[in-house]
Amino acid sequence: MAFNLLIVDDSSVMRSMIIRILHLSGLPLGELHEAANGREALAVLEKNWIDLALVDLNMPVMSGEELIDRVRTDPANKNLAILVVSTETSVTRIDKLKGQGVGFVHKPFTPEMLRTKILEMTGVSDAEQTGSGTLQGSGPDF
Amino acid sequence: MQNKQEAELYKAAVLTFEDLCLTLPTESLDDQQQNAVPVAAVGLAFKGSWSGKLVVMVSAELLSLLPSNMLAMDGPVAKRDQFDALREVANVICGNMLPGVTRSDEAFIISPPEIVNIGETLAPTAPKPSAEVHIGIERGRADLLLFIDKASA
Repeated sequence: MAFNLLIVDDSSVMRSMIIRILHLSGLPLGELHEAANGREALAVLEKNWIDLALVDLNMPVMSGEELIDRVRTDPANKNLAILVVSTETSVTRIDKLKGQGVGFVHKPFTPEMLRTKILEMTGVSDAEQTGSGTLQGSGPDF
Repeated sequence: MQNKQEAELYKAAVLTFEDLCLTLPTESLDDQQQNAVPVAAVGLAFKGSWSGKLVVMVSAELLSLLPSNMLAMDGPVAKRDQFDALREVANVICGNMLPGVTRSDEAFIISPPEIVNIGETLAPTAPKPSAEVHIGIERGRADLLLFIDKASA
């Protein structure tokens, strides 16, 4: 089964880095969509089936938190799997997000950290991945 | 390191330059790094129990090295990506520095990073930073300046 993913971050370089890690991760990938803020993400969600969204919090126009609030109250997308990728360290804020059923990865992250979390959230086991299931050249961190 | 702010700023910067940008930063600058001139800078404001601004300046070598490493690219990097990478680096440094300084669970509001004028930032009449950190990376350097709003200090 190939997964359709949405990467939401106002940094195009960060989106490209995440996409690169996704390609190296062994996760079977379908469509990869990008959005620079929450509003663009909602537009993508309206038109496309997305299995997992990777979301930054601090973004202009519409923040990641507002995006998550809106998604969780939208009957069509309320069960969307969401992984927050952020520098946020406030336990209170992170717990609130986790209470909304989202995963969390702290920036800066290693490719392995991101990969592990994505596989966890998609429920894909090592046996189901394409390729070797390990990041090629996984030594460097992102 | 003169104070806690500098220590936390340095720690956050090293973490970011190592993990995000795949570089080996050093606290002491060699002659080449000392002579490297900042060519680009971004600044971002933060607001919470204390407020201020972080400015990250880099020399030409780093302006192209950082996105090259982040994107695992050989060859020239578009100017747009250079500045995007610099903004993201500043964002990650700031986000990691603040909790280290406050040692609390406080959430800060961090504004999107914007390009700042180096000349104005370094002018003799410009406000002096509360903390500053200078980091050597390969043939270039990064200079991080932390300004704290007096009203919130």
